[in-house]
Amino acid sequence: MCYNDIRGKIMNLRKWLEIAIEDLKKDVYKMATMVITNISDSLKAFEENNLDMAEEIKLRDIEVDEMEDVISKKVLEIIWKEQPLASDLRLVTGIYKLITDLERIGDHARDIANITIKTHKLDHERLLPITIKMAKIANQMVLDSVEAFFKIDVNLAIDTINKDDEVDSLFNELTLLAIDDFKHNKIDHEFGVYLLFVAKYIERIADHATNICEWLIYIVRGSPRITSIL
Amino acid sequence: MFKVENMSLYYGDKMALENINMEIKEKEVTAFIGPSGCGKSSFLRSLNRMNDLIEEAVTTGSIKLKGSNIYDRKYDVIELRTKVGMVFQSPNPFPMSIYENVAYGPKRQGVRNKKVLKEIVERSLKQAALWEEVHDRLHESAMKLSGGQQQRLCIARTLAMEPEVVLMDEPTSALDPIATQKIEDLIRELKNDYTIVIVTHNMQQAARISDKTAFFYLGELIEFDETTKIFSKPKYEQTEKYITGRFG
Repeated sequence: MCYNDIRGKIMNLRKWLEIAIEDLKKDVYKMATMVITNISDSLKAFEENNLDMAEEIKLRDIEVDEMEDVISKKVLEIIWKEQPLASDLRLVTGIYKLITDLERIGDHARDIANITIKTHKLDHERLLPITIKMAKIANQMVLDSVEAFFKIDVNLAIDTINKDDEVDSLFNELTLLAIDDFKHNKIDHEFGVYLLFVAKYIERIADHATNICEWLIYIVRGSPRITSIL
Repeated sequence: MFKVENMSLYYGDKMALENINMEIKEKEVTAFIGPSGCGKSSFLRSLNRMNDLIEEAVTTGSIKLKGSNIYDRKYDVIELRTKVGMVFQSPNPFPMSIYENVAYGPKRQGVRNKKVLKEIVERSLKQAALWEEVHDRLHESAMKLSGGQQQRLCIARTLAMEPEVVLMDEPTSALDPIATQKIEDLIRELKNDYTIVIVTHNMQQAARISDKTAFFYLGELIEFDETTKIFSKPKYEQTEKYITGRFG
């Protein structure tokens, strides 16, 4: 070679972009922490039939929505001001998509809290164990998806994606059991309907956790979504 | 359109380009990016042998235009530069009328028929998106035009020669944003009829207007791929570092 090594020339020309991205990551972390707390508490409130906790979660979801707005505005500002490219562009657009999934998880935490409030006086025994099992897996998936994102851990993301099938099959199992219970009047019908709603919200939470993992993989690899991973 | 094989360029002892291999497709916009001194303009000039004008320049390897090596001794350089036109960084109209600027090339080629010349001028100015602005003052001095208009006039002058390829060396770096936008719009239109190769320091411009992008660094072609890939997920770390501004 007739010229200097490339490493001798490294310099950072995107100081302001990096500052903006770091600030963005802090906000995403804050939002993720809020959502994780809300979903854990919401599932716990449902399991324990805790009315006060459910009421509190409804209020806390407003803060999650506000945080999503703050992050969205910052993402748009980075795009028009800094015009990020390649890995920076993937990170910023990945975050833009990821916060939608976080916000939807937050919404489902609120939805489950609403059902807890509506059903707290009803008989809670039937079909609960399988729902709690689903909830535990989905909750762990949310935790792991957020951890995978902040640690940029693609392997953890893939493991988490693979857990989605467990939640789906539990949901199908629960649906069949509920149908049978309805047929034979083994369950309070009002509670049974609400329980299926809760199960569906949990199943959707697992889907959103899967999406978060897929966004991480997109950010790291630049390849589109799930089809290229599994 | 172009097939470049093992091409190197030396200015005396100094190697300016090292072992370049690349295929430039017909009717596409190909952008060359890279920091100053990376060889991108030298490579652009190699495509119509403008480097021949530099005494110490020596080219090895081959650059084939539609199958013929343009560095073959028998290759007619005048014919090459007719087929492969060039637009430069600063607009450089001749100090003559708008009409004469465009008619200059065809006249030099022997076109004398005034009707034919008039048609060439009108067609070229229309292709360069300048006709509407100048059709009623074709015989005024080209020097009275704005910078952006002068650059489009230079493009019209190149198109008047009916080239197959138009090389552009930072064609908008001396222009304001509106004039730049007009040239970019024009490049997108011209792609339907011409092969365009553009050197630009403006990465967003390369991203906006090109189909393929080549990244040069220190005389080497580091990466050449679809523009979408280069700006979203380049293969090589050096490309990534350059386009994300981690070195310059």
